[in-house]
Amino acid sequence: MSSRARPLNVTTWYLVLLAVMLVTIVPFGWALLMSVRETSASPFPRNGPAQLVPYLGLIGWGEGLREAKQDGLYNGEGGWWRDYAASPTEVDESRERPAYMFPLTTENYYKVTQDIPIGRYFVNSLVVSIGTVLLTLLLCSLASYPLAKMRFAGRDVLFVVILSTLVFPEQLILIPLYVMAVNMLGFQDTFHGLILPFAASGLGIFLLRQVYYAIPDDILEAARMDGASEFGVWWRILLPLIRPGLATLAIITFVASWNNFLWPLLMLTNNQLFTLPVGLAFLRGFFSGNLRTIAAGIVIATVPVIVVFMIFQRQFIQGLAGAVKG
Amino acid sequence: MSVTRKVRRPASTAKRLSETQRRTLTAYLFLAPALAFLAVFFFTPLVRVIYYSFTDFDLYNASWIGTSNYSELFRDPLFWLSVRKSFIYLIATPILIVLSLTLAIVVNRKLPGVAFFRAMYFMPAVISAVAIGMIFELVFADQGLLNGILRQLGAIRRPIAFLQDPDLVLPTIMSVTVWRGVGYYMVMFLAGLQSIPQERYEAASIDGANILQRHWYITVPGVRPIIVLVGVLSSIAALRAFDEIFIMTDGTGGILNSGLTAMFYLYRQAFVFNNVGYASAIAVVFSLIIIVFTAVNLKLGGEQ
Amino acid sequence: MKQLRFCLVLVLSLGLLGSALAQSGSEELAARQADASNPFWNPNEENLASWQVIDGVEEGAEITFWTMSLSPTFDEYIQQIVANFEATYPGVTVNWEDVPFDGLQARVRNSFTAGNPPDVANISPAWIAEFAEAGLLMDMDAAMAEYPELREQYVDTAWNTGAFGGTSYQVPWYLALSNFLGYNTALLEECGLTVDDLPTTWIELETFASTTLDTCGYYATSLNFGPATEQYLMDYLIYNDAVMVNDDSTVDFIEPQASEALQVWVNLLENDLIPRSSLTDDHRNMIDRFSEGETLLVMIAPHLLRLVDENNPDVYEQLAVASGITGSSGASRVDVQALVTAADTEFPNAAMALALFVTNPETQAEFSKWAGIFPSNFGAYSDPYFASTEGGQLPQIRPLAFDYVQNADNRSITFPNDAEVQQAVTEATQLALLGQASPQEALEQLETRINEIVQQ
Repeated sequence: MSSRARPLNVTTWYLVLLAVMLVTIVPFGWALLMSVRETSASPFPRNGPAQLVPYLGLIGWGEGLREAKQDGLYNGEGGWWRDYAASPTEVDESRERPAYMFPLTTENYYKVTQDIPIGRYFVNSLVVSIGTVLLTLLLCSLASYPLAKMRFAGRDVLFVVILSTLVFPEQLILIPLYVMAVNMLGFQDTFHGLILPFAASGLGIFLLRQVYYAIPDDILEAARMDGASEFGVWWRILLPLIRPGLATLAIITFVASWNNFLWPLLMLTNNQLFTLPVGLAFLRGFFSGNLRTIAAGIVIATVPVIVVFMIFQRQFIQGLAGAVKG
Repeated sequence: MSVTRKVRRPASTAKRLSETQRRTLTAYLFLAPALAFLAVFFFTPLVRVIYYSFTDFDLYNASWIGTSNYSELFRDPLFWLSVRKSFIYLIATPILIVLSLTLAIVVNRKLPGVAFFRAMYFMPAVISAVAIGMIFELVFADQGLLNGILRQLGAIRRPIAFLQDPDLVLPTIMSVTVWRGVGYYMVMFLAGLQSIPQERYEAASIDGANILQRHWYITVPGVRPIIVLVGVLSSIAALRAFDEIFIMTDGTGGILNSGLTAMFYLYRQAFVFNNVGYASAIAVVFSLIIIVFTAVNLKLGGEQ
Repeated sequence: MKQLRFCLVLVLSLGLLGSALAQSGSEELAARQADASNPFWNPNEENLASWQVIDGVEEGAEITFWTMSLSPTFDEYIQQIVANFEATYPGVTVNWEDVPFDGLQARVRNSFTAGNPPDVANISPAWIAEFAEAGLLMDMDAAMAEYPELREQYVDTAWNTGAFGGTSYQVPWYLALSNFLGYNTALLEECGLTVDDLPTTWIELETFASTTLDTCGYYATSLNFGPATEQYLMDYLIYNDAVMVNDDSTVDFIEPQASEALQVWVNLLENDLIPRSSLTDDHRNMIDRFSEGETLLVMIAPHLLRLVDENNPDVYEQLAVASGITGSSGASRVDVQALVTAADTEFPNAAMALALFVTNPETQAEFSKWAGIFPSNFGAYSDPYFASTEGGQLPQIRPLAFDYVQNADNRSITFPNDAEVQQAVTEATQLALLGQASPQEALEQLETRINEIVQQ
C-alpha cells in the first residue's frame, strides 16, 4: 500500500476516516444528547422530525430546582436556576420553536451528583488503579531482572511456572480467590483487597524480561566492577533504562485496573467505596428507567477519561504497539 | 591477628564458592515478592478450585461429595447451553480480525491528522465495558437511537426489542464487544503493518495486482503472527466476556437465559445461588475447554 | 446481585423518607413542638401515666436502642422519644445509636456473636428467621401474653410478618403501604373515562388497557417483569389464591386459577396492551413512564410518589390515587420495620417497655406526620391527621390508609434456596410471556422445578 496518497484520493480517504469516526463517537454523542434533555421521551417523536438541535432551557445548579420549574426562575441561597425557554423575553418573541429543536437543561447533571458521589468513585478508582500500577511495576521489574540477566539454579523452571499463569483462564481462580478474600483475608470493602490479587502479573514479568534482554551486559558488568550491589545496579542503572517498558506495563495495568468490574463488584458492599465501574452499575440500578439521569452519570464518568486519553494518546497507542512487538 | 592471617586463603575460596550461591540468593530475593504474590493469589486458588469442585460448598460448610458435581454438570442442559452461547460469542473474533485489520490498513497512511483518527478509533478501549454497556443500552432502548432512526426512516413501525427478544440479545451484546475491541486490535495490527517493506507493495503494483490482491498476498502473510495473537487474545476475551452481559441484561443473564454464557453461568451458580462447589466444577471444565481450544488455535496458526 | 438490588430499593425508600421531611419544613415542625397540646412534644403527667403500660420495669436499667438509617434526619424525633420514655419510666436510661442500613445486618450478627447485642434493635423482618432459629430473640407472643389488650392494638399481619415457626419475635414499628394505584387525571379525561372506570383487579386491567389504547392511543400502564420486580409471579399467584404451600415448602399450583391468572399477563403482552420492554423493565421504569405522561396508571407504594414529583411536577399535579389493583384474594401487602429484643437481655421488661413505647399510638402518629409512612398501631389512626387531606405527608393516601392496613395480608413466602427458586420462577414467567409455553405448561414445569429445588 502506497504511503504517498495521490491527491485525488485524499478527500475520499478523509471521508472514509470520518465515516468510521462517526461510528465510534455517535453512541457517546447520543449519551450526551440524552443527558441534557428535559424528558426521557425519545428525541425521535412518533410524528414529526427528530429533535436534535438544542436551545437553552432550564439552566442552573444547586437548590431551587422545583421553584424554577414552576416560576421559571430561582435565585436564592444555595442555588441558581433559570428556565430560558419560559423567560419573558422568549415569550415576547412569541415565535414557536421549530419542531426539530429541544430545550437543553443542566438538571440531570445536578440530580445525578446529588444522589451519587461520582467524584468519590473517581478518587476510589484512582487510588486502586495507581496502587495496582505501582505495586505491579515494583513486583514485575524486580522479578524479571534475574530471569533476564542472572544465571542461577532453577531459573528456567521458575520462568515456566510464571508463564504457566498465562495459560489458565482467570475465571478458574475467581471462586477460590473470592472465598479466601472473604473468609480468610478480610478483603471485603477494602482497597488493598482490590489491589493485591492483581499485583503480580505473569504477563508483566514476561514483558519486562524482554525489555531487560535488550540491555547489553557490558553496562551491568561495568557497574558491578565499580562495586555496586545488585540492588544498586537494578535501581540506579537498569530502572532508568527500562523506563519505556515500564510505561507500557503501567498503561496496560492501569487500563485493566481502571476498568475492572467483576472483582470490585464482589468485594465492595459499602457504596462509599465503590470504584467507578461498580458505581456506574449502582447508578444504573438507582435511576433505572430514568435514562436522562443515567446518561448524565455516564457523561460525567467518561469525559475525564476521554480527555486524559486524548492528551496521552500517543503514549497509549505506542505503548500497546510496543507490547505487541516485544 | 595471626588467626585471621591463617584463614585468609581458605576464606577467599569460600568467598568464590559462595559467589554462585550468593548470586542465586540475590536472584531469589528479587523474585521472592512476585513469587509470594503468585503463590497466594494464583497457585493456592488453583489448587483450591479443584478441591472445591469435589465438594458441596455453600461458602460456609464444605463436604466431600466426590465427582457428583461433575456428573451433575454433564447432565445439566443449562451448562451445555451456556457453553454453546460462549462459542457463539466467538463469532466476534473473526469479525474483529477482519474489521480491525481493514481499519489498520486505512489508517496506515501518512496523512496529516491521521494520528487523531487512530486515537478516536482506539478510545473505546480505554473506557470501561460497564460505561460502554450503559451507553449502548441507551442506543438499543425502545426509545433509543437505533429504533428512533429506523422509525424516522420508515423501516419499522414498532420498536425492535433488541434486549427483550431472546434471539437478539446475544448478537446485540456481541456487537458492543466488537465495537469496543476494533480500535484496540487495530493498534496491534498497525505495529505489524509498519514492519512490512513498502517495496513489496510497489513491486506488486507493477505486476498489476489490484488493491485486494496486494493486501491478500502481501499484508495478510506479513501480519500473520499478529493475526494469531489477535485471534488468541480476542477469543480469550470473548470466552470470558462478562461486564457487557451483566450490564445489558441487568445482572440476569438475559431473557430466557439468552445471554447466559458459561462465564455468566459460573457467576450465577457461585455468587447468586452460592453453589460454590458446583460453580468450581463449571470453572474447571470450562477452563479445560478454553485451554484446549487455545492450544488448537495456536497450533493451527503456527502450522500455516 | 439480586440482593444488592433489593438493598437499593430499601435504601432508596429510606432516603426518600429523609427528603420527605426536608419538604415538610422546619417551620411546621417548630409549630408542632411549640404546641402545648401536642402530647408527644409536650407531654403532661396524664400522658406519661397513660404511657406506662409495662409492669416490673427494672429500676436503674440501662438499655441500648439501635435504629436503622434514621439519623440525622430524625434525630430530634428519636431524642424526644427517648426523653419521653425516660420520663415515663423514671430511673431507666436509653442509649440510642443509629446504624446505617448497609452495615446493620452484619453488626447485629457480630454483636450477638460477641455477646453484647442491643436490647432493642430495628431490623428487617427478613433477618428474623436467622436470629430466631439460633434462639437469640425474645418470643414476643409469649411476652405479650400478659397484655392481650396491648397486643390487640397492633395490625395482625404486621405482627406476624417474619414469624418463625409460627411465633412472632418482633414488635412491628412503622409500615410502608405497597399497593396503590396512581392515575393521571388529565389523561383519564382525555380518554373520556372517569374514576369509576379504573381497574381494581387484573382482569379489569386487561379490559381497561384495551379501552385506553383504542380510544386515545395511550398505554394504560407498563409492567415490570425484569429483575427485583414487583410483578413477581409467585406473589401474583399467591394473591390470586392459586398456590398451596406445604409444610416442607413444596408447592401445589391450584388449577385452573393459576393458569388463568398467568393468562392475564400473557394477554396483556401478546395483544400489545403494554410496552414490550415490560419484559425487562423494573419498577422504576413504570414510574418513569408514568412521569413522562406516556401511561395513565402507575402501581406504586405511596412513599415513592415523590419520584413522580421529582421527574415531572406537571404530571404530579395531575396525579390522583385510588386503591391498588389486587388479585382475586383482594388482599395487599404492607412492608414492616421490626423491633426485636435480645433474648438474654439483662432488662427484659425495660426492653419490652421501650419497644412498645416506640410503637405506641401517640409516638407513631407523630412519626407519620414527619415521614411518608404509617403506624402499625390501630390506636394511632384516631389522630384527626389521618382523616384530613390537607398538608402533611401523602395527603392523597391518608384517608385510604386505615382501610388498607386493616385489610392488609402479608402472604409472601421465602423458600429454601430462594435465589434458585426465583430464577426458576423468572424463567417460567418468561416462557409463558414469550409464548414459548402455555401458562399451564409453564406452571407445571415450574411446580416440578420448585419442588426439586426446595428438597435439595
